[in-house]
Amino acid sequence: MRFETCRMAAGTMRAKHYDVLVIGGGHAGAEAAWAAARLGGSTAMVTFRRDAIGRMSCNPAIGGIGKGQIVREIDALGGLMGIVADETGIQFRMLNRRKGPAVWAPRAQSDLEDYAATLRRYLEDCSNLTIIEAEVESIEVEKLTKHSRNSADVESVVTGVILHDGTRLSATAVVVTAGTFLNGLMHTGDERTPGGRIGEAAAIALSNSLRRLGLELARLKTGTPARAHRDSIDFSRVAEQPGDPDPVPFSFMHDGVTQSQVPCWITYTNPAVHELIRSNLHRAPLFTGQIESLGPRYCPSIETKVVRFADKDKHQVFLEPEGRASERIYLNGISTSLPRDVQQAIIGRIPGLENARILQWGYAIEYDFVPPEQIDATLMTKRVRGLFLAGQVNGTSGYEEAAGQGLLAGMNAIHYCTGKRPIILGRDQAYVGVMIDDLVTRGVVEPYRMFTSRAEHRMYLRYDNADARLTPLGREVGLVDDARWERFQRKSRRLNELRALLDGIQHEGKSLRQWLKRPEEDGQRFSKMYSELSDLYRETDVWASALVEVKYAGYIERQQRSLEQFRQMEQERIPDAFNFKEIKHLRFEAAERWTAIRPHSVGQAARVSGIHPTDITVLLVALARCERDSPPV
Amino acid sequence: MQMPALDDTIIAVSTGWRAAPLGIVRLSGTAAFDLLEHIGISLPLSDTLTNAGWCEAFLTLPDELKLPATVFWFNAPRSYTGQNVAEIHTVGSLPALRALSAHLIDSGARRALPGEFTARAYLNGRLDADQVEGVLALINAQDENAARQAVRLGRESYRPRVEKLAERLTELIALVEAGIDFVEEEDVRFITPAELTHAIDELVDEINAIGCPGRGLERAAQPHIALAGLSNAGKSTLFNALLGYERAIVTPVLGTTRDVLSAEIVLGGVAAVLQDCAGLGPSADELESAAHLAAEQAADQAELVLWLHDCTVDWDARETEVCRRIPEDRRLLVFSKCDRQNNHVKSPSPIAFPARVEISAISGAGLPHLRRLLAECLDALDEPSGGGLTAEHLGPTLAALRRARESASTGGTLVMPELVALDLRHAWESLELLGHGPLMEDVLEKILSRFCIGK
Repeated sequence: MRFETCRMAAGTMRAKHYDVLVIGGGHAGAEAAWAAARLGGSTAMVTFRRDAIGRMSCNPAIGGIGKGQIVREIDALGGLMGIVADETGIQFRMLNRRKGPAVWAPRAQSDLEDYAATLRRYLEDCSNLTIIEAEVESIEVEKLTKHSRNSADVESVVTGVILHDGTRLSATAVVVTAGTFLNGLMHTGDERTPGGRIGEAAAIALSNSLRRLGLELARLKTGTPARAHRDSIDFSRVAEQPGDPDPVPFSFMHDGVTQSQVPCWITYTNPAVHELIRSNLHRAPLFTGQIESLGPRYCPSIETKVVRFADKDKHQVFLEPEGRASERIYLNGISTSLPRDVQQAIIGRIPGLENARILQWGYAIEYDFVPPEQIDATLMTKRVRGLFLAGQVNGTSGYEEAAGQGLLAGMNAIHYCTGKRPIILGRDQAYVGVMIDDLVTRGVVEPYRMFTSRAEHRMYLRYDNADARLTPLGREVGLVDDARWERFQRKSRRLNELRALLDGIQHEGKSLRQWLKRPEEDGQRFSKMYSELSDLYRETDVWASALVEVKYAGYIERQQRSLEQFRQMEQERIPDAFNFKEIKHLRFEAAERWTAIRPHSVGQAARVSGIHPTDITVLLVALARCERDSPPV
Repeated sequence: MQMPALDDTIIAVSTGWRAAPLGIVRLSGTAAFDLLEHIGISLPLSDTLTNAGWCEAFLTLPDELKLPATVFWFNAPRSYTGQNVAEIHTVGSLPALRALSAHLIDSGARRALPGEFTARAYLNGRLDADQVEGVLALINAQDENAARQAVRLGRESYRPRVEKLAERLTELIALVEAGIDFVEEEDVRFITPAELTHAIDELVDEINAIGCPGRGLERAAQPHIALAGLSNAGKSTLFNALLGYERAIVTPVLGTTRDVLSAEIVLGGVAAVLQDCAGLGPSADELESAAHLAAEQAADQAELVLWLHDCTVDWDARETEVCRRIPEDRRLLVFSKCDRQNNHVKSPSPIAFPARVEISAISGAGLPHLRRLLAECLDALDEPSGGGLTAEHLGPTLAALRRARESASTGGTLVMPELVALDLRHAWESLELLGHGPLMEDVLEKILSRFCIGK
């Protein structure tokens, strides 16, 4: 058997043993369980309700700017989200298409129920994976003696979980992906309901268990708007928003989108709505002090918008169907925790929604998270070996951000079981890498969402080259199957063919490459003129990659230099047990910060807040000295 | 934060702390010799194959400026840093040295961080383990020097203007980034190429207006010696005696010196700034407490603090308290008014000073000794090789802004704001704002406070 730990467990206890046990069945949990099981580890997913796996708690859409790139990265590594989003999407759009390809980003409206069902089917069909419907009462660990620790921070090692009914499940690695369920508390007006999502229970025992393990917990807040009945909306009073005429799929495995697309609609709030909100602020939990934790600034409730941007006389409201045939319409833009009667009155004053019948009220939710300075870049907690955290529990927001972490946590949980080297994605490699580095190096003050501006190597982290960046890694790890690997190699071949054609074809005395350098030229007209190009033009990924290479040529070269410099510092590793406080002449503040964060490379050390350039020089000298004093065995 | 790389080419200038006839500019890194070509010096290929050599030449700088120089070069790995090293010895004129360094930075060199030359020497095995302690201490000391210098520069009009420039640049970046990351939002409108080029032009004008560094900036770069002590300890009398003319008003009234007076003084060939601080003590009125604050600041930011104690009075507990705040290696104890006391000091100080001098500013006793001691201290100071900002450092900022303008004005239907954003970010980074947080935090803050984001 590949997994040494299985043998050990079988001898020591009678309980059922898993290599990886994933707590939670949301977007992080699904990817974590999928990755662990596909990599051959015996895996269990423990979740409250099987039928709630992959449920979208908030808006019925996948992707967006920054997020769409993450979905492509998950797909390139062999994860699930891109495939499921393609199969269940009902409207596809490529955002930022009128700007340079480095910032193009795919987004799709999803059929919410279909999405969850499809995701669940993939997991149910996956061998090595058991789904257990239960609540986790506690995470079990074994305390380490001082002697057996290999780093100052490690206190214990995970051994499994105990379920609510007392059943003990033993596991080598545990991945917690509890989303908003940890001690979740929902607010609508002064009504307070414990729960992780509307109609679902909260995970209170798990939260307490994490605290007992010595982890520090804090609280964040997020919110969601009301859903209205489709038949109660007057669509003649709202504007229709269609999808792209030539929809582009998320997954590198798909050539195109075959299903038909449905429209969304847009309407606006007005001064009457704003006045109504203002006169009811004394009943708004966000303003009465009932909600104390911080929500995302980039995703404010309608009451916050009205207060903060008092001079604006209207705000957008997108009407997004929750499914192709669903009667539920998601009212995107008016997330709120105002009391029901106020919500009803507000919505009734919005054009098109005058007679809206509300199927679900908006609410805010507060939940526990583990401030992410407590995990390392592999997503494992520093205190408890074998315990991984992914998704909202790390202070992020968004399905894509959660899924990206889930996939990485699943892979690293397996590598932990088998003793393989952990996988750390770099800031120069993936948005997922940027996100995790931000989380573990700087922590969060509000729910973390991806923006392309967070990536300093944005020109390189593009949607079109996610496969070139990550599929070889996915293959090496074992998550990329033969079919995907072949497609990847084929795309590389096709890209080379296209490169040759761009140099070879002369148009009015100039090569196509020269033509494409012009800012306004996207090459479509040439694809019609030269038949050998027409197929290649339809292969969106191939065409976009080539276009980017031509358009960004000078910039990519310039970025290459800074990329190399960046990598040099990332490769300067800091040993796990390195004692920063023993570096003589290092500023006290720098030693304190580094001891708290435990950076794994000089590059990460430099990104810790409050660090001076000279601290890095001192660190480099100290590391070189440490290496010279104790040559590798 | 500016990251030290290990093999890019760094530059350090010995700027004129010393009133010396010679100025030295050092380069270390892979491209050190290539950079010489930008100032009109090409080393013959045969020469670069040998270990080291030197030549005499005229340096060519922009605006037809020519400087006589001797250039020494050392081939990797047999150089101080273990990399290619070039040393340019030229006239000690500050403006000339600044023009030279600005041009080399424009051509691709990076200003060295404090201690970076020495760090490279160690990392490349040119210094042995016994020397490493010294290396770390040196880096630390240079960082402190640089920090003090930076704070002093902050009081000159230049730094606030750079801060303002950074602020406006951040705002512009926010406008560009908003158009990339928040296209779907209701009131985000992408800044037009015309608005963008206009904003960039304004920034360029602002940089040009910052112009040449004045006398004040040069002074800020010099080492500072602060005269501090309780009120009426005789600081102003010593100040005048050291300078040789009546610069400060000296009266026996307690607390006469209300502001920090400063003047240039040359000690053992090193130009320094002597500062006369208001007496420290219990402050009675508002004006006085402001003066005390200024005095405390001056003492905090000086390379050397002379603590004056009137030898006719007892040591005061407040003196102990204040002196403890000054690092030991930066404080000197001076007993004043020794002409009035035939015997010796009434009570010794309870804290240690590396040196103590007894003087009488009236009779002149002890003054030559004090001057010699100060000259020795100044000589032992390491000059910061990084840190403080001066106007020529804005060269790379200008270059990045010019590139951004070029990307912004290449119109067409396929606008590429991400290219403009890249160059604007480079411009921001080149401002080398010490102690500043990550740019994107500020940018996000600005976007979110300006636009109503959130579907």
